[in-house]
Amino acid sequence: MARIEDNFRQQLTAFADGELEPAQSLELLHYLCDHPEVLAILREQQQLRFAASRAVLNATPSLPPELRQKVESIVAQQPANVSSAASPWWSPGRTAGIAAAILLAACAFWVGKHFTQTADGTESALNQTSDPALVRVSLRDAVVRVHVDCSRFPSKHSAEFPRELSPLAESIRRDLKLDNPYPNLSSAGFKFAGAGPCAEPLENTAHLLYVPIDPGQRDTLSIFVQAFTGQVDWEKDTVVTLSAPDSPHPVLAWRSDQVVYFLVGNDLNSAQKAKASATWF
Amino acid sequence: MEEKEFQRLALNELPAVFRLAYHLAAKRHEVDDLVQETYLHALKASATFQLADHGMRPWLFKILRNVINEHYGKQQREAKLAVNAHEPVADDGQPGISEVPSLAEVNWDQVDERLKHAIDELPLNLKTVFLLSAVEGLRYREIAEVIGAPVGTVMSRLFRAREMLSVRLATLAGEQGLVRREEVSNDEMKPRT
Repeated sequence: MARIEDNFRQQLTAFADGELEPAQSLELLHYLCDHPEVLAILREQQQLRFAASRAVLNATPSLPPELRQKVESIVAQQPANVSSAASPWWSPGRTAGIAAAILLAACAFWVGKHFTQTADGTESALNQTSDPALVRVSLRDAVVRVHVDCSRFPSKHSAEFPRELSPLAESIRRDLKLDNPYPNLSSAGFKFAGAGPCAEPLENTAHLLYVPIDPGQRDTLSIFVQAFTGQVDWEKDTVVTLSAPDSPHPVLAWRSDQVVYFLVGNDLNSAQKAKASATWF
Repeated sequence: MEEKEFQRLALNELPAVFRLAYHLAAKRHEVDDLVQETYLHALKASATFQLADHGMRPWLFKILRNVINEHYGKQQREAKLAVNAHEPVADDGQPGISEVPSLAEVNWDQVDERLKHAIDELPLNLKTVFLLSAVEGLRYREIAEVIGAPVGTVMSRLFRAREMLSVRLATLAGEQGLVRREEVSNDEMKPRT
């Protein structure tokens, strides 16, 4: 076991959550570059968070229809006299930590690279396993986790498709028959917020983040794209549902000859609408 | 804000409110009551609601937390915290130097049930901030608003929650074999001819 000051570990946790001030993040990032043992702790913290979220979501039953009905009747009881200072949750006011988020993204990317390349010589479990069912579950969990985490930081996504994945962008353009390497989801109520590369275990994957056109809406939507290399066993041009019916984050997926697409939403209705806009078949 | 818009936003958050209530309630049959009470309070307080830059979810979570506090009563809640706490911790105590439990050998694909159990065993104040962060994706300042405490307290509680979960998992990994199995032996890794 390593012995580390609790104060520093607290900072490490905040860094993993993208909550440190930019200057502190930069300082920590430099430190991490020289201290792989601390980087390993950071990675374990991220895995713990990922696994905890998955465990809780899997253990949550679906919302009972009777409860929904009761709450609907409660909400409909009387007029709501609500004042509004409406501004979208991704507005500039929210982005006080832009620099920190960018640093976190850079670090996450770097951490992913570092571990892919040097840590105990292992590759991502997603690439190692040959069982398609395991791949599906791992991918589903990974995209949900990244969707939940990265949707909080739309500003860290670039308007440009990740340069290192430009061949993938070309394949997407061909699939969609569009100039842009991302689907147009405006008819489903979403606009493209940006794209970003993902770290392990979604290396070589681009995260396309969409935010609601309606500023009163909060829920985001994500599409993850990766080159098709036989990692999934479903037929092309067929939509498969990877999530459980009562999952809080529905995951729909499909593939073309060269690209695998994962669509993650916060409710099935909007995910289905977005899927209709994002698919070409 | 239009009445219908308020209703729509409130109902959009119902699955999240239900999820948090489900994991914070002491008993399953109390969940529905907690959720309904939350929405009753929300409706009463609707005039004070301002749609800010992070939507309605944190506001509803804050109401839910108050409902839970009222529901269980302060004394009972404190007793529950004391019973639940594996280690007595103070929010603003001075952190020291401690051993970092290694999770390097944990097989993350096999920990769901045990990890969920470990989360359930967290003291309520730690469990609340952990769920708000790890599951609901709230930022620290949003969590601070929900629990009515400074951001520093949020950081401290999150740290302690993860610390307790790490210790629990590391122990379980040793006791119950939740370790990564060796996929192949060294010999098998040699190129085949």
